[in-house]
Amino acid sequence: MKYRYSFLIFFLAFILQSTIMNHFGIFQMSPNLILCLVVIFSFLYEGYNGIVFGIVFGFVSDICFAEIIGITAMCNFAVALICIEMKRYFYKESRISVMIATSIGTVVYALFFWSVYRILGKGADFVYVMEKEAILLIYHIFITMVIYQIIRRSVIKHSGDRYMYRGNLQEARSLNRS
Amino acid sequence: MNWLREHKILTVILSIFFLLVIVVVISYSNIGNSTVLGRSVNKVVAMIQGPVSSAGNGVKTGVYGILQFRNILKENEELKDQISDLNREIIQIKMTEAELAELQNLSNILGYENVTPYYSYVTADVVAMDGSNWFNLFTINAGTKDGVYKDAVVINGDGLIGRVLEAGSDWAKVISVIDESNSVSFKVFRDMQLLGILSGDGKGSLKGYMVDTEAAVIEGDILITSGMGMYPEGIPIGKVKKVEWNNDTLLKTVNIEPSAYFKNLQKVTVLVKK
Repeated sequence: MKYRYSFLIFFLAFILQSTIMNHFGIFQMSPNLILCLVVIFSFLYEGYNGIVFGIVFGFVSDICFAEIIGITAMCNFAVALICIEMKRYFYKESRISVMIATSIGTVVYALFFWSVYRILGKGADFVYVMEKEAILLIYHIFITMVIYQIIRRSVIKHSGDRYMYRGNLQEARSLNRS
Repeated sequence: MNWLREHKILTVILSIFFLLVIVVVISYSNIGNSTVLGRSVNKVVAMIQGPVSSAGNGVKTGVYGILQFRNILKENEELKDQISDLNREIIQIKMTEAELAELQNLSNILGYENVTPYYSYVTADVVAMDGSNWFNLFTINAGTKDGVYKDAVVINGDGLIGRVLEAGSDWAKVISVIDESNSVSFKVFRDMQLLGILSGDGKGSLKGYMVDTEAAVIEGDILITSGMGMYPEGIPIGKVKKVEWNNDTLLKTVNIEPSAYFKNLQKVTVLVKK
């Protein structure tokens, strides 16, 4: 996806996340739309849109809402890297793979976020955080699945082709070369 | 150098990571002091968030109104009763206020320290909230133009909300009292001799301890700010949920339920020193 479209999507998600989503949260929780987009862009799309905009909008989130700047950007960066690496081992055509990527992304984000704040002496209680993350996990999976359904056709070319190689494209090329 | 050339991707990843760590460290050592770039980003984002947040509030209120029509009618009747009670109270308070004004005049004439009210109020809308679910930081649409400054105290109708972490020309970032790592001094409303200190408990609530280990604080006691430190005296903080004796610290600790509900803030008031 082109960078300008990705930017618009991330920007829209950021505005929605900080305004409207807070009013319509479930169990007083609002989803982290930026994190969902980082997972989707890193896991489903080629290129580095997930990393770039994960860091950029992580910074914007921190500037607007955090005491310390850079932690959300760092967490988004870590999640994006893990999701890119996961492309090697999971088929992006499968819904279960997307669910696993979202789950790992959410957990990694939470642990990283909590750890960095804890190191800086500002962390929340671990059990409290994990309780919240359990609800958030379901929320994130739901959102990514909805987005996945919308973008599926553009991401997976020839989804009905039974002879299509269903693994990672780069991996397929390297296999072909060897 | 050869290793760097051979591992280009890893080098780039590590460089970005270290760059981010440096940003975090610099930011940690300058909490609440944004750069010009940070202030500009905040300003632009707050300008966009304002109308979107108002629209969201409108939709929410509309939907809630339709769904809860019967309850709202009932609530309306109750509120009318409350208004008539409050009107009676206002008349009494006005009489007391007149007496107080006389006493203040007398105090000023006699050369005591000036005791006239020290704060003015700036009302603001909450335009955006932190989406992390762990913390309760939010942005309001009032800033230095309205007289808001760093560390100004923020309240709402229910009680203490927090303080201004950073202020721009027409926006301000507020940190709630439950996220506050700084301590707040309180006293018990029932017996103002009972003093204590509280801070956020890391679980979205408050915890504190009594200065006097023999203090007769009980569950349900209302706590207000004591006036020591940055918070002025008499702002409701919350209600005592649980009183315990801590054998490790040898202190009487209290778990407090905050009087303000932080997840649904729409309007707040900033106390600005005159």
